[in-house]
Amino acid sequence: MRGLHRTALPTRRHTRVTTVDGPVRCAYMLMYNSAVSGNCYKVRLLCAHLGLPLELRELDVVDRSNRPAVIGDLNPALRVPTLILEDGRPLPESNAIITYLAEGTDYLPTDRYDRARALGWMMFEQYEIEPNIAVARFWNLFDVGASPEQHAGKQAAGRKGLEALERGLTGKEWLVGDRYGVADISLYAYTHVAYEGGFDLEEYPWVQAWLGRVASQAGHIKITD
Amino acid sequence: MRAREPPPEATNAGRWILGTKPAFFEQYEIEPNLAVARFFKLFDLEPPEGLARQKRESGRKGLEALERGLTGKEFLVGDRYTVADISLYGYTHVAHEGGFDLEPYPWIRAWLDRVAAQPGHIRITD
Repeated sequence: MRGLHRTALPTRRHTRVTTVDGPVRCAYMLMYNSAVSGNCYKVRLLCAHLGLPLELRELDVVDRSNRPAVIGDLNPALRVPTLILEDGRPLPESNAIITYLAEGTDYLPTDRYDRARALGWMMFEQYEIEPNIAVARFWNLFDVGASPEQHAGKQAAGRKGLEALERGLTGKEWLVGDRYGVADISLYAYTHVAYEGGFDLEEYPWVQAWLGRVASQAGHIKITD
Repeated sequence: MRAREPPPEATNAGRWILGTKPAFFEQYEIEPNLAVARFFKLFDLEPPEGLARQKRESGRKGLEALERGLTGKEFLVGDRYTVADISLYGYTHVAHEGGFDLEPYPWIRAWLDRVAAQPGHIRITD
């Protein structure tokens, strides 16, 4: 994959990222990653568009017991993705990471109002879409024993999120302004695999058409790439 | 204490992006748990026991992460009070109304006091 370097290096913390004296510079940004995570995919997708090299360190999404040891002092929430900049500074939270990487590019609006709207869509993503669609998908993919009531709750809340997204996309090509940007990348990540969580996008024609537009952007990569 | 201090952010854009990180955390870990638990209590709703327990556990997990994030620090981003602090303060300072005890989180409690001491501060009830 262009720009991405998967590494078989042991995931020993601090070997390249930091020393006791503080951060050291790296040739590439490094990301604590999960291949299956839509949140991590957002960063991989934007890096593919921008041609930014990214070294990936895989963390287990089911057995999270090693997270305090590996990323405890990099991300208080112990989540992936956690990006390590070339100078060693850590940056957690997928939407904050893509906003950081998009700074100064066409993927982040410069207009104050549009920028705030992009941020608003990414907040919506973390509140309405991710906790429902991603969690339903996780339960399905890893055969987690969630109760029928829990499944039904995620389906109802996820549909509410998708209905809001459909309203937001109705009559529009992109979420913010007239170009593809960080808000689209953020919402695409879990919406395009919603079917893996048991969601049917048939009822959301504007969402479907927008998914097609995102996938046809130059430099697009798949979540499985 | 953290091994590394966050570096001074060189630009307004840098401050802006670093401010968004705690704001996303707030909407994912804090708001859905602390705010919803508080809503149940304020409006005297009786959620199923499983749901109430899940909100308590997830809320505590969020508060523990916030405590880690504030340990050794005065404010969430850089050395000044910003939108990130305002965002996290919103529900954290009324966590007790959702049944959360902040006693185990000394860094959070000290930070709440610092926020409340900012000039022009108003209360949620003002």
